[in-house]
Amino acid sequence: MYAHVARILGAGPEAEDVVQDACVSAWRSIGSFEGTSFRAWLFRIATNRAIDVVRARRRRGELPLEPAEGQEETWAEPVAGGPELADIAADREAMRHVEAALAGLPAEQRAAVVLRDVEGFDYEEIARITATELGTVKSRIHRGRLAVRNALLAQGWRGSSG
Amino acid sequence: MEHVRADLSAYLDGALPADRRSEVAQHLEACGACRGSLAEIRETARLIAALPAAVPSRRLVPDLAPRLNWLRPLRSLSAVGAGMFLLVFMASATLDTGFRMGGGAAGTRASGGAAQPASAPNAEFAGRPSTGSPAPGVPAAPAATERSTAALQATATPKAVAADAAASPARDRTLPGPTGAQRTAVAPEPLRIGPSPWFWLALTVLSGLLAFVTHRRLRAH
Repeated sequence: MYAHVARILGAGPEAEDVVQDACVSAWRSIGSFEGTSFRAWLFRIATNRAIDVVRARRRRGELPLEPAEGQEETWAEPVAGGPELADIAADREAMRHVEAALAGLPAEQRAAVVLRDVEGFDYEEIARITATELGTVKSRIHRGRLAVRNALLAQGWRGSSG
Repeated sequence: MEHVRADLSAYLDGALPADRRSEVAQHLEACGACRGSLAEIRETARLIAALPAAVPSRRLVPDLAPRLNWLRPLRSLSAVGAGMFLLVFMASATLDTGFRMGGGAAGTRASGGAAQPASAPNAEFAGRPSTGSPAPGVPAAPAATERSTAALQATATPKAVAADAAASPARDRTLPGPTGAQRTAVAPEPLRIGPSPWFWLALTVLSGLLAFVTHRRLRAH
Protein backbone atom coordinates (compact mmCIF):
# COMPACT_ATOMS: atom_id res chain seq x y z
CA MET A 1 0.00 0.00 0.00
CA TYR A 2 2.94 2.30 0.65
CA ALA A 3 4.05 1.88 -2.98
CA HIS A 4 0.59 3.01 -4.12
CA VAL A 5 0.53 6.06 -1.85
CA ALA A 6 4.11 6.89 -2.85
CA ARG A 7 3.00 6.91 -6.51
CA ILE A 8 0.37 9.53 -5.71
CA LEU A 9 2.35 11.63 -3.24
CA GLY A 10 5.94 10.80 -4.03
CA ALA A 11 8.08 8.60 -1.80
CA GLY A 12 9.05 10.05 1.55
CA PRO A 13 7.97 10.64 5.13
CA GLU A 14 4.68 12.23 4.09
CA ALA A 15 3.62 9.10 2.19
CA GLU A 16 4.70 6.99 5.15
CA ASP A 17 2.60 9.14 7.48
CA VAL A 18 -0.41 8.77 5.20
CA VAL A 19 -0.10 4.96 5.18
CA GLN A 20 0.35 4.91 8.93
CA ASP A 21 -2.69 7.12 9.46
CA ALA A 22 -4.70 5.01 7.04
CA CYS A 23 -3.78 1.83 8.93
CA VAL A 24 -4.73 3.32 12.29
CA SER A 25 -7.94 4.75 10.81
CA ALA A 26 -8.84 1.37 9.30
CA TRP A 27 -8.11 -0.33 12.63
CA ARG A 28 -10.35 2.06 14.50
CA SER A 29 -13.21 1.89 12.03
CA ILE A 30 -12.96 -1.82 11.30
CA GLY A 31 -16.52 -2.20 12.54
CA SER A 32 -17.82 -0.03 9.72
CA PHE A 33 -16.25 -2.22 7.04
CA GLU A 34 -18.85 -3.33 4.54
CA GLY A 35 -18.45 -5.09 1.25
CA THR A 36 -16.46 -8.03 0.06
CA SER A 37 -12.97 -6.66 -0.47
CA PHE A 38 -11.04 -5.62 2.61
CA ARG A 39 -8.09 -4.69 0.39
CA ALA A 40 -10.24 -2.31 -1.68
CA TRP A 41 -11.52 -0.78 1.55
CA LEU A 42 -7.98 -0.17 2.79
CA PHE A 43 -6.97 1.33 -0.55
CA ARG A 44 -9.97 3.60 -0.46
CA ILE A 45 -8.91 5.04 2.89
CA ALA A 46 -5.28 5.44 1.82
CA THR A 47 -6.07 6.85 -1.66
CA ASN A 48 -8.46 9.44 -0.33
CA ARG A 49 -5.98 10.55 2.30
CA ALA A 50 -3.20 10.80 -0.26
CA ILE A 51 -5.34 12.88 -2.63
CA ASP A 52 -6.33 15.13 0.28
CA VAL A 53 -2.65 15.74 0.99
CA VAL A 54 -2.02 16.60 -2.69
CA ARG A 55 -4.91 19.08 -2.65
CA ALA A 56 -3.60 20.64 0.56
CA ARG A 57 -0.19 21.06 -1.06
CA ARG A 58 -1.77 22.79 -4.02
CA ARG A 59 -3.68 25.14 -1.76
CA ARG A 60 -0.43 26.02 -0.01
CA GLY A 61 1.19 26.62 -3.40
CA GLU A 62 3.70 23.76 -2.97
CA LEU A 63 2.42 22.14 -6.15
CA PRO A 64 1.33 23.70 -9.43
CA LEU A 65 -2.38 23.81 -10.14
CA GLU A 66 -3.73 20.60 -11.53
CA PRO A 67 -4.40 20.56 -15.26
CA ALA A 68 -8.11 20.48 -15.91
CA GLU A 69 -9.63 17.15 -16.78
CA GLY A 70 -11.94 16.73 -19.71
CA GLN A 71 -9.74 18.34 -22.32
CA GLU A 72 -9.77 16.99 -25.85
CA GLU A 73 -7.44 14.05 -25.97
CA THR A 74 -4.37 14.47 -28.12
CA TRP A 75 -2.23 11.76 -29.65
CA ALA A 76 1.35 12.85 -30.23
CA GLU A 77 2.78 11.55 -33.47
CA PRO A 78 5.55 8.98 -33.02
CA VAL A 79 9.04 9.95 -34.10
CA ALA A 80 10.38 7.62 -36.74
CA GLY A 81 13.67 5.89 -35.99
CA GLY A 82 13.60 6.10 -32.18
CA PRO A 83 13.69 3.11 -29.80
CA GLU A 84 10.43 1.27 -29.31
CA LEU A 85 8.35 1.61 -26.17
CA ALA A 86 8.75 -2.11 -25.65
CA ASP A 87 12.49 -1.60 -25.14
CA ILE A 88 12.09 0.86 -22.28
CA ALA A 89 11.41 -1.78 -19.64
CA ALA A 90 14.99 -3.03 -19.86
CA ASP A 91 16.40 0.50 -19.60
CA ARG A 92 16.57 1.75 -16.01
CA GLU A 93 17.21 5.33 -17.08
CA ALA A 94 14.26 5.23 -19.44
CA MET A 95 12.01 3.95 -16.66
CA ARG A 96 12.71 7.19 -14.81
CA HIS A 97 11.01 8.99 -17.69
CA VAL A 98 7.98 6.76 -17.20
CA GLU A 99 7.99 7.62 -13.52
CA ALA A 100 8.35 11.33 -14.24
CA ALA A 101 5.54 11.19 -16.79
CA LEU A 102 3.28 9.47 -14.26
CA ALA A 103 4.21 12.01 -11.59
CA GLY A 104 3.14 14.81 -13.94
CA LEU A 105 -0.47 13.57 -14.10
CA PRO A 106 -3.27 15.09 -12.04
CA ALA A 107 -3.48 13.20 -8.72
CA GLU A 108 -6.90 11.66 -9.44
CA GLN A 109 -5.74 10.44 -12.86
CA ARG A 110 -2.54 9.09 -11.37
CA ALA A 111 -4.46 7.28 -8.63
CA ALA A 112 -6.81 5.70 -11.17
CA VAL A 113 -3.96 4.57 -13.46
CA VAL A 114 -1.94 3.12 -10.58
CA LEU A 115 -4.98 1.38 -9.10
CA ARG A 116 -5.56 -0.25 -12.49
CA ASP A 117 -2.08 -0.95 -13.88
CA VAL A 118 -0.11 -1.55 -10.69
CA GLU A 119 -2.67 -2.80 -8.20
CA GLY A 120 -4.88 -4.61 -10.70
CA PHE A 121 -8.30 -3.37 -9.51
CA ASP A 122 -11.07 -3.48 -12.10
CA TYR A 123 -12.94 -0.34 -13.16
CA GLU A 124 -15.90 -0.87 -10.85
CA GLU A 125 -13.63 -1.37 -7.84
CA ILE A 126 -11.71 1.77 -8.76
CA ALA A 127 -14.99 3.68 -8.99
CA ARG A 128 -15.84 2.55 -5.44
CA ILE A 129 -12.36 3.27 -4.10
CA THR A 130 -12.27 6.78 -5.54
CA ALA A 131 -16.00 7.40 -5.04
CA THR A 132 -16.52 8.41 -8.68
CA GLU A 133 -18.64 7.35 -11.65
CA LEU A 134 -17.55 4.46 -13.86
CA GLY A 135 -17.34 6.81 -16.86
CA THR A 136 -14.98 9.09 -14.94
CA VAL A 137 -12.76 6.14 -14.09
CA LYS A 138 -12.59 5.10 -17.76
CA SER A 139 -11.72 8.60 -18.78
CA ARG A 140 -9.05 9.06 -16.09
CA ILE A 141 -7.32 5.80 -16.86
CA HIS A 142 -7.31 6.40 -20.59
CA ARG A 143 -6.14 10.01 -20.37
CA GLY A 144 -3.51 9.10 -17.81
CA ARG A 145 -2.04 6.37 -20.01
CA LEU A 146 -2.24 8.62 -23.03
CA ALA A 147 -0.38 11.41 -21.23
CA VAL A 148 2.39 9.00 -20.24
CA ARG A 149 2.55 7.67 -23.79
CA ASN A 150 2.77 11.21 -25.19
CA ALA A 151 5.50 12.12 -22.69
CA LEU A 152 7.55 9.09 -23.70
CA LEU A 153 7.12 9.81 -27.40
CA ALA A 154 8.25 13.35 -26.74
CA GLN A 155 11.46 11.81 -25.36
CA GLY A 156 12.07 10.13 -28.68
CA TRP A 157 10.55 6.71 -28.29
CA ARG A 158 8.20 5.41 -30.86
CA GLY A 159 5.22 3.16 -30.62
CA SER A 160 5.55 -0.47 -31.57
CA SER A 161 4.02 -1.66 -34.81
CA GLY A 162 1.45 -3.62 -32.79
CA MET B 1 -14.39 5.75 -40.70
CA GLU B 2 -14.60 6.93 -37.10
CA HIS B 3 -11.63 5.93 -34.94
CA VAL B 4 -12.10 4.25 -31.58
CA ARG B 5 -9.08 5.67 -29.76
CA ALA B 6 -11.08 6.99 -26.80
CA ASP B 7 -12.22 3.45 -25.97
CA LEU B 8 -8.90 1.68 -26.39
CA SER B 9 -7.97 1.59 -22.69
CA ALA B 10 -11.37 0.27 -21.67
CA TYR B 11 -11.21 -2.23 -24.55
CA LEU B 12 -7.78 -3.35 -23.38
CA ASP B 13 -9.06 -3.82 -19.82
CA GLY B 14 -12.25 -5.62 -20.83
CA ALA B 15 -14.37 -2.82 -19.37
CA LEU B 16 -16.58 -2.13 -22.40
CA PRO B 17 -20.16 -3.36 -22.75
CA ALA B 18 -20.41 -6.35 -25.06
CA ASP B 19 -21.94 -4.47 -28.00
CA ARG B 20 -19.38 -1.66 -27.89
CA ARG B 21 -16.60 -4.18 -27.50
CA SER B 22 -17.57 -5.98 -30.69
CA GLU B 23 -17.78 -2.64 -32.56
CA VAL B 24 -14.25 -1.73 -31.43
CA ALA B 25 -12.97 -5.19 -32.35
CA GLN B 26 -14.44 -4.86 -35.86
CA HIS B 27 -12.91 -1.43 -36.27
CA LEU B 28 -9.48 -2.65 -35.11
CA GLU B 29 -9.52 -5.35 -37.77
CA ALA B 30 -9.90 -2.71 -40.43
CA CYS B 31 -7.83 0.18 -38.99
CA GLY B 32 -4.06 -0.14 -38.73
CA ALA B 33 -3.70 3.27 -37.03
CA CYS B 34 -6.00 2.27 -34.17
CA ARG B 35 -4.21 -1.09 -33.85
CA GLY B 36 -0.95 0.85 -33.47
CA SER B 37 -2.53 3.12 -30.86
CA LEU B 38 -3.83 0.07 -28.99
CA ALA B 39 -0.33 -1.43 -28.97
CA GLU B 40 1.08 1.83 -27.59
CA ILE B 41 -1.52 1.98 -24.83
CA ARG B 42 -0.87 -1.65 -23.97
CA GLU B 43 2.86 -1.02 -23.85
CA THR B 44 2.44 2.11 -21.75
CA ALA B 45 0.26 0.23 -19.25
CA ARG B 46 2.88 -2.51 -19.10
CA LEU B 47 5.63 0.02 -18.42
CA ILE B 48 3.63 1.65 -15.63
CA ALA B 49 3.06 -1.77 -14.07
CA ALA B 50 6.80 -2.51 -14.30
CA LEU B 51 7.83 0.55 -12.29
CA PRO B 52 9.78 -0.44 -9.18
CA ALA B 53 7.74 -0.26 -5.98
CA ALA B 54 8.83 2.28 -3.39
CA VAL B 55 9.86 0.83 -0.04
CA PRO B 56 9.13 2.66 3.23
CA SER B 57 12.09 3.65 5.35
CA ARG B 58 10.39 2.64 8.59
CA ARG B 59 7.77 0.30 9.97
CA LEU B 60 4.36 1.79 9.24
CA VAL B 61 2.15 -0.04 11.74
CA PRO B 62 3.95 0.58 15.03
CA ASP B 63 0.90 1.76 16.92
CA LEU B 64 -0.87 -1.56 16.64
CA ALA B 65 2.00 -3.67 17.91
CA PRO B 66 1.93 -2.47 21.55
CA ARG B 67 -1.61 -3.78 21.81
CA LEU B 68 -0.07 -7.23 22.05
CA ASN B 69 2.15 -6.29 25.00
CA TRP B 70 -0.23 -8.02 27.36
CA LEU B 71 0.93 -11.28 25.80
CA ARG B 72 4.44 -10.87 27.20
CA PRO B 73 3.64 -11.63 30.87
CA LEU B 74 1.34 -14.42 29.69
CA ARG B 75 4.22 -15.96 27.76
CA SER B 76 6.56 -15.73 30.79
CA LEU B 77 3.96 -17.10 33.18
CA SER B 78 3.05 -20.00 30.95
CA ALA B 79 6.71 -20.87 30.35
CA VAL B 80 7.51 -20.80 34.08
CA GLY B 81 4.28 -22.66 34.78
CA ALA B 82 5.19 -25.38 32.31
CA GLY B 83 8.52 -25.86 34.09
CA MET B 84 6.91 -26.00 37.51
CA PHE B 85 4.20 -28.39 36.42
CA LEU B 86 6.87 -30.61 34.89
CA LEU B 87 8.72 -30.72 38.22
CA VAL B 88 5.52 -31.50 40.09
CA PHE B 89 4.70 -34.19 37.54
CA MET B 90 8.12 -35.78 37.98
CA ALA B 91 7.84 -35.69 41.77
CA SER B 92 4.31 -37.05 41.65
CA ALA B 93 5.23 -39.77 39.20
CA THR B 94 8.26 -40.73 41.29
CA LEU B 95 6.16 -41.03 44.43
CA ASP B 96 3.50 -42.96 42.58
CA THR B 97 6.02 -45.34 41.10
CA GLY B 98 7.74 -45.69 44.45
CA PHE B 99 4.43 -46.55 46.03
CA ARG B 100 3.69 -49.21 43.45
CA MET B 101 7.15 -50.75 43.49
CA GLY B 102 7.84 -50.36 47.18
CA GLY B 103 4.45 -51.55 48.38
CA GLY B 104 5.38 -55.22 48.60
CA ALA B 105 8.88 -54.73 49.87
CA ALA B 106 7.81 -52.36 52.58
CA GLY B 107 6.94 -55.20 54.89
CA THR B 108 10.52 -56.34 55.05
CA ARG B 109 11.88 -52.81 55.21
CA ALA B 110 9.49 -51.59 57.89
CA SER B 111 12.14 -52.00 60.54
CA GLY B 112 14.35 -49.63 58.53
CA GLY B 113 12.33 -46.69 59.84
CA ALA B 114 12.63 -43.19 58.39
CA ALA B 115 15.21 -44.17 55.77
CA GLN B 116 12.32 -45.13 53.44
CA PRO B 117 9.81 -42.29 53.58
CA ALA B 118 7.80 -43.51 50.63
CA SER B 119 7.35 -47.00 51.99
CA ALA B 120 6.95 -46.11 55.65
CA PRO B 121 3.23 -45.27 55.48
CA ASN B 122 2.77 -48.47 53.59
CA ALA B 123 4.36 -50.64 56.16
CA GLU B 124 1.07 -51.89 57.49
CA PHE B 125 -0.31 -51.97 53.98
CA ALA B 126 2.26 -54.63 53.13
CA GLY B 127 0.06 -57.11 54.93
CA ARG B 128 -2.15 -57.21 51.83
CA PRO B 129 -0.29 -59.18 49.20
CA SER B 130 -2.76 -58.43 46.44
CA THR B 131 -2.15 -54.66 46.38
CA GLY B 132 1.56 -54.51 45.69
CA SER B 133 4.17 -56.41 43.77
CA PRO B 134 7.37 -57.19 45.57
CA ALA B 135 10.65 -55.66 44.54
CA PRO B 136 12.90 -57.94 42.54
CA GLY B 137 15.08 -60.09 44.68
CA VAL B 138 13.28 -59.33 47.90
CA PRO B 139 11.32 -62.16 49.50
CA ALA B 140 8.40 -59.91 50.26
CA ALA B 141 5.56 -62.34 49.75
CA PRO B 142 6.58 -64.77 52.49
CA ALA B 143 7.17 -61.87 54.88
CA ALA B 144 3.79 -60.39 54.09
CA THR B 145 2.09 -63.69 54.59
CA GLU B 146 3.88 -64.12 57.86
CA ARG B 147 2.72 -60.70 59.02
CA SER B 148 -0.82 -61.33 57.87
CA THR B 149 -0.88 -64.49 59.86
CA ALA B 150 0.53 -62.64 62.83
CA ALA B 151 -2.23 -60.08 62.57
CA LEU B 152 -4.84 -62.78 62.64
CA GLN B 153 -3.20 -64.34 65.64
CA ALA B 154 -3.14 -60.98 67.36
CA THR B 155 -6.87 -60.72 67.09
CA ALA B 156 -7.29 -64.20 68.42
CA THR B 157 -4.82 -64.30 71.30
CA PRO B 158 -3.16 -61.40 73.07
CA LYS B 159 -0.23 -63.67 73.94
CA ALA B 160 0.53 -64.13 70.31
CA VAL B 161 0.68 -60.36 69.97
CA ALA B 162 3.27 -60.19 72.66
CA ALA B 163 5.32 -62.83 70.87
CA ASP B 164 4.98 -61.02 67.60
CA ALA B 165 5.95 -57.73 69.25
CA ALA B 166 9.11 -59.31 70.49
CA ALA B 167 9.90 -60.47 66.96
CA SER B 168 9.45 -57.03 65.35
CA PRO B 169 9.66 -54.12 67.75
CA ALA B 170 9.62 -51.50 65.02
CA ARG B 171 6.16 -52.49 63.91
CA ASP B 172 4.92 -52.32 67.45
CA ARG B 173 5.80 -48.68 67.70
CA THR B 174 3.33 -47.87 65.02
CA LEU B 175 0.78 -50.60 65.57
CA PRO B 176 0.49 -51.42 69.24
CA GLY B 177 -1.75 -54.28 70.20
CA PRO B 178 -5.15 -54.99 68.71
CA THR B 179 -5.54 -51.45 67.28
CA GLY B 180 -2.67 -52.09 64.90
CA ALA B 181 -4.20 -55.33 63.87
CA GLN B 182 -7.43 -53.57 62.99
CA ARG B 183 -5.58 -51.01 60.90
CA THR B 184 -4.09 -53.73 58.78
CA ALA B 185 -7.54 -54.28 57.38
CA VAL B 186 -7.88 -50.62 56.16
CA ALA B 187 -6.52 -49.83 52.69
CA PRO B 188 -4.04 -46.93 53.06
CA GLU B 189 -4.05 -43.92 50.73
CA PRO B 190 -1.13 -43.79 48.30
CA LEU B 191 1.19 -40.81 48.81
CA ARG B 192 0.45 -38.42 45.95
CA ILE B 193 0.87 -34.77 45.09
CA GLY B 194 -2.49 -33.62 43.82
CA PRO B 195 -4.97 -35.70 41.89
CA SER B 196 -2.70 -37.75 39.60
CA PRO B 197 0.66 -37.51 37.84
CA TRP B 198 -1.20 -37.38 34.53
CA PHE B 199 -3.02 -34.29 35.69
CA TRP B 200 0.31 -32.51 36.16
CA LEU B 201 1.57 -33.79 32.84
CA ALA B 202 -1.52 -32.42 31.10
CA LEU B 203 -0.97 -29.05 32.78
CA THR B 204 2.66 -29.13 31.66
CA VAL B 205 1.67 -29.75 28.04
CA LEU B 206 -1.05 -27.09 28.10
CA SER B 207 1.24 -24.48 29.65
CA GLY B 208 3.98 -25.35 27.18
CA LEU B 209 1.57 -24.98 24.27
CA LEU B 210 0.35 -21.64 25.58
CA ALA B 211 3.94 -20.41 25.94
CA PHE B 212 4.74 -21.59 22.40
CA VAL B 213 1.69 -19.94 20.82
CA THR B 214 2.17 -16.62 22.63
CA HIS B 215 5.85 -16.63 21.72
CA ARG B 216 5.05 -17.19 18.04
CA ARG B 217 2.41 -14.45 18.13
CA LEU B 218 4.79 -11.98 19.71
CA ARG B 219 7.56 -12.81 17.27
CA ALA B 220 5.20 -12.25 14.33
CA HIS B 221 4.88 -8.65 15.45
